[in-house]
Amino acid sequence: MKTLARAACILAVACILGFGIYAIVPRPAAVAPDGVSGAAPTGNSASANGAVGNAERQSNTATPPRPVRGNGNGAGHGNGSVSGIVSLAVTLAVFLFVYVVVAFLSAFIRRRPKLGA
Amino acid sequence: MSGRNKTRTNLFLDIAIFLAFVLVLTPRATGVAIHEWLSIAFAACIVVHLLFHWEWIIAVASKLFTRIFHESRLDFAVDLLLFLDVLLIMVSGLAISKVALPTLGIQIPFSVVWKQIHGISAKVALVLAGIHCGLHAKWIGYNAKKYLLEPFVRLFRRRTDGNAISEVK
Repeated sequence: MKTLARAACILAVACILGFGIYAIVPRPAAVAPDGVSGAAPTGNSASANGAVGNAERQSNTATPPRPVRGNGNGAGHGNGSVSGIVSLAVTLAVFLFVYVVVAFLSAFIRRRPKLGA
Repeated sequence: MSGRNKTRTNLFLDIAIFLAFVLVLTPRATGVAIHEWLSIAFAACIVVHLLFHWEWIIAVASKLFTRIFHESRLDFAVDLLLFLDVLLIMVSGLAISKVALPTLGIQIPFSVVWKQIHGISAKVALVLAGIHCGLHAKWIGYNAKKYLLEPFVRLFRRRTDGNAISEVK
């Protein structure tokens, strides 16, 4: 029971902070179905029809999307120029570097004789 | 749970969290679906990790302003930053989710801002996690030796002892 209450407390803090973060960051502009930013046309009013016309014109004249270089694994992150294994190795290397430096500094500071001792 | 068992459970949970963390940070290696679902499991493991260290958190938080220079204070500051950063990663990750949330029927409009926040906070988390583990290197080293290395050595010794006995016979 106590553990559940603690877990609920952690989740409550996480939810409050999470919604706070979500509220702070600005919302993205509405996107038209054809991928053009702007007010999404919803009604039959003149302005809405105008928005459709604008959207269509822009989508016709817009530059075609650049081909995405992928590594074919369906990851969908980045351009795929760095393989997954290299990415994993770099992540591990950075982590280990920070870990070793901090561990060394921490041990060094602990062993240092205190002034006046 | 006895102290010895608790420490061992702690160590194995921390190893699982570490492995999940490294895999989650490399979506190129895992693919988006595994990246997203593993991240959610990782968040659940973080809650369990915090529950294991609840007494320490409360003890340090209650004495936070009484002693200015104390080692626990640095630990607490790093841990707090890491918690906030992981929270930021989770929120931004859910905001740009392509698999997990759509599977649950939730659609959030894509934002480049969230994607940038997600990337930057992930890099910060990697450094903070390195600092977090580095500050506990003594505990990690001692318990890894006790619960991972020594059982292997003991197993090897037992086998060699068994061979020696059979040779004598």
